[in-house]
Amino acid sequence: MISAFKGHFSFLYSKKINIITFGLIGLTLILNIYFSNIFSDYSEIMFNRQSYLDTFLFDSYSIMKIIFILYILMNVLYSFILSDYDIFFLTRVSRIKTVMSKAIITLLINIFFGTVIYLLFAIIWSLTPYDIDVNSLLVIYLRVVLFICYYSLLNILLVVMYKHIYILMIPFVGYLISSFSLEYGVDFQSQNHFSKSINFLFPDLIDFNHTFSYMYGDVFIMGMIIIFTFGIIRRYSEKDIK
Amino acid sequence: MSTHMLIEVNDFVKEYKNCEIRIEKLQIKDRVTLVIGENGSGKSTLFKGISNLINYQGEIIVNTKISYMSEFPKYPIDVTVNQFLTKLSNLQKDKSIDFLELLNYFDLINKIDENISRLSKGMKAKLNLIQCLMIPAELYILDEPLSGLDNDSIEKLIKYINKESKSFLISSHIENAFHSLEKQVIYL
Repeated sequence: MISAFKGHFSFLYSKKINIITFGLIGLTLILNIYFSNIFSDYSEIMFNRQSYLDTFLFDSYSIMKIIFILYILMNVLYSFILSDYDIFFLTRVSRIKTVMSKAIITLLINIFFGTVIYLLFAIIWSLTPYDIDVNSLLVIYLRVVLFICYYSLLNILLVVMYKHIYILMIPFVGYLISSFSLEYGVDFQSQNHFSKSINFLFPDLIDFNHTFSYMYGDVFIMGMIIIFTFGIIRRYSEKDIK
Repeated sequence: MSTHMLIEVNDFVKEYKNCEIRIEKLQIKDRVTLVIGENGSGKSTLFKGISNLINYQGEIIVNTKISYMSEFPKYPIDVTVNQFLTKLSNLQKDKSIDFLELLNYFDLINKIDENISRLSKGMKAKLNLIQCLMIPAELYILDEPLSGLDNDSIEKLIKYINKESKSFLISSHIENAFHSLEKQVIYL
């Protein structure tokens, strides 16, 4: 299994992925610095501290989530559609090992990307005069990892099932609809039925009751991740290899 | 000639959207077996069935360790020949066949540090052959191995098959290229 991981890693982590990764990290960094108002007048920042902090968090989390979804889309497209070299692995290792090692490597690259972006966001936050809660920063980081795992595995499952580029638009568009349908800062019960329904499939990480969380909770997301994983294994084990 | 049954196919049926491949009975027991057939006759489908890469109805009994070469594989992007073969070799428990010797034999050794995407069609065909032959197997299943190869490379392949003690199951449109081999010929 280790050699399968190493094989996929060297086949998938290419210069092209590096360039896109660092390009997107740079773009997110610039946007987060802009949202932080760090270069504004100090007395102005102190006077509007709470509203500036709320805006900074909302804008930064919103842009980071969209960048994560786009990066996941691109990485799954690259790994499972453009890099369709599985036949070389399948003549040497089992189907389960082939697909799981590839999915895990894709997931780890996505998590690494998310971690770097989140770390830079935390550093920018720490450089501002806004209050910072390290505990909630860590809890939100774990939820960001869940977010990345959820959408990565959902994309992989759809590609394994349908093997079509356009199928990857479903999670992206679904997420955008889900995100725009939610009312920011409003608790779960007060959200409309449409938001509740679409968040079931395309969950968003937003501010419910003054904490960034999922509408149906972390356990629900973890449960879906397990279901997606079994779905990927089952579908890949049964399908014809072309 | 080998006497024991390498592969036995009974009532094989593979349904596609527009057609159906049906093979009632097939036995492969010779050291070299050539499968001849027109496009769409089911050569690749049969090979994929034997290699357990597709779902089908019927029965395929494989009594030996096989190594399969696909006709049109997709290579990883941005990887050199050396990286590609090293990583594939690492996936194998048995590394007794040295891919460097095969690269040398098929005149690809000078391209070892070349990015695969920069190789010609013929070179990619040789690389495909090499990655299949580096697996220590008893039966090599080669789907259209002559496709993209020049005359020299075809001769080398025929010589390689001749000198090896292993078995080969080969599909091709061109029966003449294999005239020097003692073989069983199956027409699909």
